[in-house]
Amino acid sequence: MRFFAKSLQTYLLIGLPFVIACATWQSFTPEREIAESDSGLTTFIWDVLSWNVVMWFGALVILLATILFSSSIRKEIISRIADIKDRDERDVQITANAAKNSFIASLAFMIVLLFLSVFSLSMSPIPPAQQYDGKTKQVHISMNFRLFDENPGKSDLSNTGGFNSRDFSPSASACLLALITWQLLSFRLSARKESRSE
Amino acid sequence: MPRIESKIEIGNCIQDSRLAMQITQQELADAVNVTRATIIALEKGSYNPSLELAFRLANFFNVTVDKIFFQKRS
Repeated sequence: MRFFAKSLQTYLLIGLPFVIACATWQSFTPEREIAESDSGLTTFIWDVLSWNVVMWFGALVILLATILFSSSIRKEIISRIADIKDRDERDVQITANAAKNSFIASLAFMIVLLFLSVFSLSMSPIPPAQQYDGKTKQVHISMNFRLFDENPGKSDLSNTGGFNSRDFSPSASACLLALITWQLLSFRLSARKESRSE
Repeated sequence: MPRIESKIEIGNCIQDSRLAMQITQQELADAVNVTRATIIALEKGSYNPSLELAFRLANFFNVTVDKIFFQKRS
């Protein structure tokens, strides 16, 4: 499994310049023009680059799924991205304290963002006919939580029998709530696992 | 019941012991399986080691733990 993940990472790194080259080429020359080119070499290179994009995207999805479901590979890859050092007991202690502080700060920030996304405050004048007690303005505090983003018009693809995942994208509030819940549950489970392994 | 002080300051003579053996910080770090940064932090007094590391250091210097580490009296 480790070898598989390492191979995926290597392919993603090596394949990235070719993906960028394909995207850059297509931004200058329309795809149809390239595909209908008289030069066999041009169409061959285009085919290779296009298939590389498909395979690269597939490899990325597989690696992300592996990170999600395999704790050992997740630890290895994320540790490398975050530059987490584990060389001796002092590094472990530093990492633990830094992780705790970072977790607390991130959780606080997400709670603030959730509050800002769910609650809204507005001030408006009261219509003259409805004014009473000399009050001319009113303040509204409202709470609005939606699971999915509002789509005033669905994407064009839905009418032609196609599918676009953006038509079902979760709202910012839903994402924040999910992240906060995940953070808390994940921390509690990890702490319990740590205390049992002692 | 006597009350235990909440914060105990611990000193050590790791640097003196190391210099007496004429070895570098890196050599000591390699011998007790830690990084040089940890040896520096230990000698400065900014890091207290675990019991295991304390015993490894004592075994390396061929002394008991209380000869290396001591409680600083305020």
